[in-house]
Amino acid sequence: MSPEPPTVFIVDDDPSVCRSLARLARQAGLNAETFGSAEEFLRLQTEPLTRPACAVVDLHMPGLSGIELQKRLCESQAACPVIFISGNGDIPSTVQAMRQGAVTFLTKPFDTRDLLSAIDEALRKHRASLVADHRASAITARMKELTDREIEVMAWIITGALNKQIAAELKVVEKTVKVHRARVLEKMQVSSVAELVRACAVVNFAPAKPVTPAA
Amino acid sequence: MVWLSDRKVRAELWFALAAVCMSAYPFFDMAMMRATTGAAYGEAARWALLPIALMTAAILMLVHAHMGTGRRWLLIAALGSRLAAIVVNMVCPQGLFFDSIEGVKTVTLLGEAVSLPVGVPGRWMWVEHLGAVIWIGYITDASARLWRRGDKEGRRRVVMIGGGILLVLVAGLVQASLVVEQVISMPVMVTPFFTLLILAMGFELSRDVLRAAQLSHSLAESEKRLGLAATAAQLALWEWDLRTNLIWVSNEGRRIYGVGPDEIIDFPRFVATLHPEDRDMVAAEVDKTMSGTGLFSAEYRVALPDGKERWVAATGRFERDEKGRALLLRGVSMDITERKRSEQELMQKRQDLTHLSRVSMLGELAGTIAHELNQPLAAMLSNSQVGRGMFDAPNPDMKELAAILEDITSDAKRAGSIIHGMRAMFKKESLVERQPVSLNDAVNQVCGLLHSEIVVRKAKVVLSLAESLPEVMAGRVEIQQVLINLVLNSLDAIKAAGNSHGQVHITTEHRDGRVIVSVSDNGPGITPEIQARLFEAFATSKPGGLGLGLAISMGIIKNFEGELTGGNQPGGGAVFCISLPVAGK
Repeated sequence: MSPEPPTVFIVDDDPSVCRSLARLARQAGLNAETFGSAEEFLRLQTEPLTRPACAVVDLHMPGLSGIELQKRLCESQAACPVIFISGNGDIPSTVQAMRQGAVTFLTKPFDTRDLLSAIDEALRKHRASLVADHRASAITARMKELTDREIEVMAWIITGALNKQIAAELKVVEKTVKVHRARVLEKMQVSSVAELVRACAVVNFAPAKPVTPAA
Repeated sequence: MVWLSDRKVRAELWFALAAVCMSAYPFFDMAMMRATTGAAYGEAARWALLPIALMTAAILMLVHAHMGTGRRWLLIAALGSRLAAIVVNMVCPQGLFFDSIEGVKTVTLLGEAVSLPVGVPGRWMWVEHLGAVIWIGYITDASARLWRRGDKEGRRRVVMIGGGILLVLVAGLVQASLVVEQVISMPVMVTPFFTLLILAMGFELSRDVLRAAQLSHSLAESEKRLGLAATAAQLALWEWDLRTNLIWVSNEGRRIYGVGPDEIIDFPRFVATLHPEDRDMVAAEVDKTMSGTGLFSAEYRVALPDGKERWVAATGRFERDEKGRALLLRGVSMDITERKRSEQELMQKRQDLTHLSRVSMLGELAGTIAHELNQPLAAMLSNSQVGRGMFDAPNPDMKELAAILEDITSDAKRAGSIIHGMRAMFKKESLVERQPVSLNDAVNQVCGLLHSEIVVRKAKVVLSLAESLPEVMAGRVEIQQVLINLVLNSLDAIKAAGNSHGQVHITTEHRDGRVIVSVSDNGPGITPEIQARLFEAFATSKPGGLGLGLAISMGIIKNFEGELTGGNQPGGGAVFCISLPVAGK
């Protein structure tokens, strides 16, 4: 069974534009869903996204504008990359859109290849962020298995400190530290300290700060 | 006979008759004075009554003609009594005055021997006395009535004619009666009294002649002045006599209408001077005037012999006889070619300004109108590329392809209509062509054109359009311009107030033969300072605004016989109303 194709959400108040962009996405082998307004999109799309997706959004719509939609989207569960399209690209709104992390900004009428490549980029971004999210949640789950003492030891391990140093900091015997280190590596399912450092970086786990400078 | 129809002239006729009678009377007077027998005296007295009676009748008629105030029945009674006196005089054997005369006695008057009658006074004398009472009554009545009217001229007539006649006639009558009754020994002295009377009346009437001479002199003067004024003002005077169908025109008029100085002008000749396109209109106006108010007023073109055109404004009035029949049309004409030219120039300038402001307004909207146009273009581009891509697939979905082509067609039409609307707005017309316009359509077109602008401004437009709204006669583009202006003003007001739920409400309705479009908003409304000068040029509440929009809108609506009003709504926000007359009313 082939995996479900990624989805493109199309939000534009012009039905004809919606239809034509949906056709374009489907021809490129993607799922397409159209919405006549930002409000409709926000109402219908509340589930967290598990598969790659992106949104093609008209900047100027009656009611909630594209910029406002992007802002709400960032705060919601269904966050996904946004591509803006607009009939008249005025500079202030372009700047704001890009600052909020829009993938790209296309002025109507645009070449469909430009839109398709923008969609590709957006989906790649989203896919990567989905993978990152996935990995982070796995690491977080493993970290929950660790005891408080083991977490304390892990914070020291990723600073690159030796067992002897850790033992001195934690005021325990070196042998105990050695047992803890083996436990941490085993529970975190990593084979090296380098891997452990990377895993901790993904979930923003901060290394411990030595009270006395290392000898 | 025409001479007789004038009251003044008739007065003179009666005066002449009275004078003739007066001049005839002395013969009878002499005959009486010189009579040697009673029979001769009686005969002379009998015949003397005739001129006296005729003269009093003439004087009565003169009073009637000159004063014109006496009661008609009194006049007829007085004239009848005169006739009765003559009849009695002629029927009785010795005449009216005496039943019998025994003889005459001779007395000396101013050294002359004159005869006086000796006999029995007539038993029919009461007829004469009754008659006297009636005609004295008539003259008194006529005088009193004229006196009460109070004008100086009338009162003078009363004194001269009424007073004079009464004084002289009463004195003469009393004297004659005393002679007849033989109370005094004097001859009947009618002649001197009546000579006095005739002199008084002659003086009075000659005053009229003198005044007529003065009047005709001042008439000639005022005619000269009028002529001078008319020439200076380049006014043509004319008079169309409907009985002879001839038109008299002053020299200036002949110049204006391009007619030769000696040409005889009748109505068809006048119509022939007009521009062919205006002939029916002028003839219809004349007909309308004749049957209606009697006041004629028209502006038309005269086709001059050299092929040029001249604009002429004419005003006149029909004069009617007592029975209400039109006798003549009299009036003035003026050359208004220059005025018409400057009016047209002004109209042209106004239109240039209107066009300019329309173009600048559209310039401000350029961004959003481009957006409006880019929507269908984007859809068309994407649809056509998808369609092309479908041919690369092994089995193209023909149904989908048909749907794509249909979408492209409708989007192309949409783009076309936007371009079309824009072109109409940008187009400069030399003269606004008035045509039946549906204001509902105009509102919808304007909302279409402003759709993106409204979206960008985050406002909402709500329409309440009346069903089966009648059309108005106006310029389509000009009406749209006014609507765009009003909607943009509302959007600006909403923006200035920082209202995030801005709403513009447009309604149309049909009321009392007019179509009314109102544009209201929930902005801050109009400040009192601006309200006072709302439709003046350069009055603006917008930073950077020129303040021409409403002034120009007002000009446009007025040009179509409409009204544009603006004010604040009770619940806040401004409201502007366009009111235009329904076409064909």
